[in-house]
Amino acid sequence: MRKLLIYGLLCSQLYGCPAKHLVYAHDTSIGIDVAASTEGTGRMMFGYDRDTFAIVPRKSDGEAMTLVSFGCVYAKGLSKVNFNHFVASGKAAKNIAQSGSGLTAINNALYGGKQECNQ
Amino acid sequence: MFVLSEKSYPCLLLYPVARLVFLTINIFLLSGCAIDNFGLVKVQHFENETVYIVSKEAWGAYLSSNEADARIMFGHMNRILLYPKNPSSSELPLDNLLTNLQQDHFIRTKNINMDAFNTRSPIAWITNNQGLIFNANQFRFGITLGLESRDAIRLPKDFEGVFAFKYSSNGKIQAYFYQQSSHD
Repeated sequence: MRKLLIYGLLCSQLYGCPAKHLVYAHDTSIGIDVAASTEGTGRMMFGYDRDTFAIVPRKSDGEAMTLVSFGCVYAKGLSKVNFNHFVASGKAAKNIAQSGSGLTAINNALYGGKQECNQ
Repeated sequence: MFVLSEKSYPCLLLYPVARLVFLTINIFLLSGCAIDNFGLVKVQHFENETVYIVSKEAWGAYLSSNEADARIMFGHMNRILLYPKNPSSSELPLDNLLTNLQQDHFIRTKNINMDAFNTRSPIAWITNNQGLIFNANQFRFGITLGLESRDAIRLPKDFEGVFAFKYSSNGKIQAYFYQQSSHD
């Protein structure tokens, strides 16, 4: 717990740490929020805040990830949220990237040309 | 019965915010409390071919000791966590991916060892919290007073495979996980 605390405080000071995970996130906060984060950035917020972001890290060997990713996030007010994501990496990503019909099918499954995302 | 007096709680009378926090905590403590899967918490477990879902809803005071979810909160919490299964890749051809995703095959299961999930990190989660929340987990360290909502996917940086996830706030969830083995 002490390590976590120190790491968290360091991260908040350094404004971001080396990412260890592939992250897709959608956050909404209303009220008071004071947080340090090991993924994303620390923040101090009073009122209303909404974030949508992705973090793509380097692999352990320092190489960039091979990635195919589709995302569709729709939010209306506080109660309505649609969060659709497709992530493929490595050999699977290479195979999918070479298939035009596959990419179209994934896009239709997640987005489907609808503002509210395909549900 | 809680009575504030200048003699017993002088600082609370001096600081309105501290007094508000104190009263909020006491109100929620009176309404109930829970630790992990015990107490006033509703825990449900679902699974499909490739993913487990653990759903938790708690009211009042709630303490989570899970490394990925360590927190103390006072209020209302609704949390859905997704964990991958580890089927062999031969059972999950990629051709079936979209077909599997479009079909709702989550079924509710019982008699599951919930403790097994306490040591694992979820690959995706959906949280909706209202109240006072002290986060001290590996993703977040801090305090929130009010409403917080987070939808997130989190995969290891060396992950090789496919993860598809569809969530709607009306409660509909579809998920598919495929991890490529080193022999593929």
